[in-house]
Amino acid sequence: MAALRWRRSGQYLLVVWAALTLNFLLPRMAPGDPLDYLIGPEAEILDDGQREAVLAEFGLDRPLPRQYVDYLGGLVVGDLGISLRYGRSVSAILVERIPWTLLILVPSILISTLLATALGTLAASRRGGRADGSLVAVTLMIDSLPAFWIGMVLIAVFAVRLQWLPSFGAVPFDPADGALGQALEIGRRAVLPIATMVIGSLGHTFLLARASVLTALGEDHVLMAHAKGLRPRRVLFGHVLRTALLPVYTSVTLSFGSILGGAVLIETVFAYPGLGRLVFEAVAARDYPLLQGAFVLTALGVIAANWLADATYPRFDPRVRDMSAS
Amino acid sequence: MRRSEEGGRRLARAIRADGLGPIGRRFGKAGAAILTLLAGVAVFAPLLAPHSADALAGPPLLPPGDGFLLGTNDLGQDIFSRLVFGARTSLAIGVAVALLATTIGVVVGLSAGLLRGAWDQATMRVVDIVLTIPFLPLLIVLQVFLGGGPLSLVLILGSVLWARPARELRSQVLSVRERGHVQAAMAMGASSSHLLGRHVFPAVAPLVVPQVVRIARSAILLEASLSFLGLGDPTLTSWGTMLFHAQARSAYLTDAWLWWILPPGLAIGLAVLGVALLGYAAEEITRPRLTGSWVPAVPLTATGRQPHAVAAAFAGSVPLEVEDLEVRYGTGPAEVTAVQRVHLRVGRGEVVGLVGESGSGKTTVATASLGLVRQPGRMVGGVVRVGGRSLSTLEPGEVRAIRGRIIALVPQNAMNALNPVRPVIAQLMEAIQAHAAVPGAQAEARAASLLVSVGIAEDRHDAFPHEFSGGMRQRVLIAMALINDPQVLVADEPTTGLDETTASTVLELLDRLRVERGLGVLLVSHDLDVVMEVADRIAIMHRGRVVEEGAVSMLRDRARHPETRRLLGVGAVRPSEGRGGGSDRGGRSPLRSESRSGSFAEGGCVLDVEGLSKQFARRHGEPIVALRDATLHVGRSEIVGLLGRSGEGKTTLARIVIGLEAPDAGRLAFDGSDLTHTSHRRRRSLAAGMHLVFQDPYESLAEHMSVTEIVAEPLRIHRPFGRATHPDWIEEALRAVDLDGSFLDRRPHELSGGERQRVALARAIVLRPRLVIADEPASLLDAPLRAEILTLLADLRDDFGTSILYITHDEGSARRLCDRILVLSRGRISPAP
Repeated sequence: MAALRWRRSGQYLLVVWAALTLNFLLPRMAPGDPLDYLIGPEAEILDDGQREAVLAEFGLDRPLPRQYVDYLGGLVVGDLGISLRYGRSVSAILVERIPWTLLILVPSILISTLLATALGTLAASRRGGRADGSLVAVTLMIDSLPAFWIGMVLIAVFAVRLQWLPSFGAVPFDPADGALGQALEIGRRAVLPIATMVIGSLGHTFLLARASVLTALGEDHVLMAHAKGLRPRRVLFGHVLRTALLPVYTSVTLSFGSILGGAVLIETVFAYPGLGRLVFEAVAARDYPLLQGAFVLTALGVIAANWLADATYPRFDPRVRDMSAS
Repeated sequence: MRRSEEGGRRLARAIRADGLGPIGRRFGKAGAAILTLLAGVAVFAPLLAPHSADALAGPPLLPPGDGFLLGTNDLGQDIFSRLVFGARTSLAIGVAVALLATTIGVVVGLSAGLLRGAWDQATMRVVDIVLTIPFLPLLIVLQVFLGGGPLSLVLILGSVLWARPARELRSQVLSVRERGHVQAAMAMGASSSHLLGRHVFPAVAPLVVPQVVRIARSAILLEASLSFLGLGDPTLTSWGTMLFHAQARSAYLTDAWLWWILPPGLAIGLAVLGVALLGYAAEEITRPRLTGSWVPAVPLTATGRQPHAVAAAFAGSVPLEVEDLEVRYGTGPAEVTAVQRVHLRVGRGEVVGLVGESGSGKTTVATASLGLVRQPGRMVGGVVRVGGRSLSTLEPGEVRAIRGRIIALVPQNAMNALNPVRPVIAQLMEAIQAHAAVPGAQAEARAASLLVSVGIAEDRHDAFPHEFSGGMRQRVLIAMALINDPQVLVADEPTTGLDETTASTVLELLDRLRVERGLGVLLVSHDLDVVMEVADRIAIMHRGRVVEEGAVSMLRDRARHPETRRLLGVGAVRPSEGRGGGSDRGGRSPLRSESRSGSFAEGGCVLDVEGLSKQFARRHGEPIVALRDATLHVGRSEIVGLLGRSGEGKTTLARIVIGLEAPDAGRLAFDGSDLTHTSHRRRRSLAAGMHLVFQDPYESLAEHMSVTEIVAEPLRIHRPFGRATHPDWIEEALRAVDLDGSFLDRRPHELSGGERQRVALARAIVLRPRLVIADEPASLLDAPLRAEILTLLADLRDDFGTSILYITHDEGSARRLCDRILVLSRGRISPAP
């Protein structure tokens, strides 16, 4: 039924609307002078005439609904304002930073999911044994540590003490020789951030994969698979994992939001020039337009990822597929 | 009666541990210990810390020792003191947020789940929004624009973290609402506050604890994260701000990084770990544990041979022989011997029945015949011989080659025995190609023809299992078992849950195969009647042993073991004074009261149903028409039977009469009062006069209530005596169903199926209703219990003048009990032939 799909898309649109509206309202709800949020500390030294001029320029003298419409209109064309700190268009700055975040985000998600699933399957098939118990215990312990702190420790050990890997930035100060050399340098700088993100997100997915595989192992269709005389590997991949991984897929896609939040912290630790670090800089400098722009972008990005995951899930699970009228 | 079910309960408990397992217990204790320690540190901080958090107590970057347990940071502050005072802030914020967010979450979740409607929609949209927008960026912007200080941190964290528990609690409430005991209370006319207080909240309350714990964990980590980003109060010392300062002042470039960076992070980790361990234990208590995995049983001896062509080796030998089999579950004090010294033999073309109650071990024997057990089970003794070869002398690969090829299984649970994500024909092809290198097209052709021969049309071959009905899935499983032409088939409850027509089709098919292919069949079931129709020999199992065995004719006439006799229903007389309540199998039973057969006695009907119509929309396809202009009447002190195939709308009719569903059209009158257009309140008060007995006694009783409370519930809802619940009425009701005072304080899980259904009947009659609607009250029970329930219903009519609408698919019991029989077919009601 297409109606169901429309309703779900409608829900996502609702969330988008809520995020954008919140973004609009926050500087206007915040205590103090709204101009502080738009042009920074200079707002204090303006005299009345200049104030009015600036207010008019930002449209703050118009009624609220009109401002809202202008705001939405601006968003549509990608106008997110001017950064207080950099003096450039916010959207331009954001666009520059996105690739770096993706560079560490995508490999982290892939590695973490694969590793967690493999370990979870291992633990589930040796349920109650030493391997299972120690994996669960170790995972719980690592999962309790703040990911950004793990990053700090990794820097202290690998970058400062052992000097194996660089500790901050994405590109070396002096460009390396040739494109391959440059790529290698970029890669070296991505190792620790990716490792930190993987360690941070491993625990949750591991526990879920383990529980999911345990459930699948006890199901009757697994008994049937054994009873048909299938090879153990075939039972594992074709029957156990095939159904056990569905919740893992859902969970990973649902956790985009928290993974992106983690990126904020980790990029800060490693001074990595992505969106996350941008948020930190904007907070530190109280660069409100930049912060708002980053918020809108991350919110929209996560919402879009969720929607995409939702839309692709039926491909893997026929039980939720719409059927054309038979 | 209770004894025979004990085996089932013991077995189930061994497989699925109730409450805390050993890991959960250990985790719970460790978590509690950690949190107590940290709480102590936080509370006694001023006593433990040698300096205040901000004091410049010594020279900068001093290593540990000499009055500074962890040394000093770059400003000369004592790190240990800061750590101890930091505990206060971090933990206090965590606890405060957990309490705030849980309170909001519980209120929203409960109200949304119970009230439904617009409130539910609105709150769940808000939950969607809060949960979809990424947490940390949201918290950051909220704190930047609206915040300042620790109080705002608590409020902002609380305003975001309530959403997940609200959603989870709501779905718990929704599922509890659908549970039998809540439906039963609704059918009895309970008000919303009664439902909430006595049914929903007790069921949902335990789940709040893991929520609180989970929020505390998130809160501690999020506070640390926000403080690390500089959004905490910089004047307040928390573990997060310590790390913020460490990062900002480049701690790892100094020599002091070890004791400056490590302690706060470890402290955060310890707190979160304590909470997580406690949460693990809390979840284990409140959620059911996972059932054991299916594993190939470890062969008792192993040789070094390779699997080879097996078919030739099996020709001309006994298809299945089981000797002295012993299977145990669990270890130590919880060990249960599920199967003991079982001998079985299935010859070519022979159908051997294996009959016993649930828990007698018959399914274990069935799967062990293929060398499979469910963990934590293991085969500790005996021999299984398939085609003359003992499984324990074969390599695992050889045993695997036999499964599905020489011996095949039709498992018990057709609903779940097929892989849900692959088309059925692919699963049959898989069975073929597991044993022979058959090209795809050929395998597909063979699978297709076999599916057609069991009645699955070609256009459905690509469909997925969930698109088939239970009966069709059963047929697919049979086709899958037969596809490699096995010599012996182990069929575990192949007809349970199927209506009579489909069941006989299945049995006919098995019989045909037995004749055509010389297939040996081990037919496992709890229903002796069904098995006696097709089997040559039957073995009766009781508590893990075979207690009697022989040809069907011999068993029927000369059964010796009490268990066999019990299953046959021989001599099932009620222990109380002889009321002639035995199951008289042939001909008229004394249960029917002669003088009342025929039309409405004493004028006036208790129940009038006229022109009732009801249909249900389906997700894809045509709506299902349950009732189409259905009409029936039930007179005073009359027992009317309503027959029909399963899924034909009988339960829908019952639910409409009792008020759980609204009809699309038609009229309904109870004792002359029109029910179709009355207010809720009037409906509820009228509900005192009628009662619905549900089909499943395992669902319709609330597990957290005692028998007394269950039977007293109608008194509590309708309060015929004001607030008092008269204990003598309760005892009288229990006596009428033959339960004595020892049952008063028992809880449902201590009762067998038969006892539960009797409690349900006691609850039905405690208010002396004029009408009892019994929806398949005995179909899930065994033959002897069935006879008892029928006797009880007849007594109800005789003693109290209650009218009964007896709904069933079992014509035999209806003819024994009812004055009149009606048939519901295709939505319409007509008198039975």
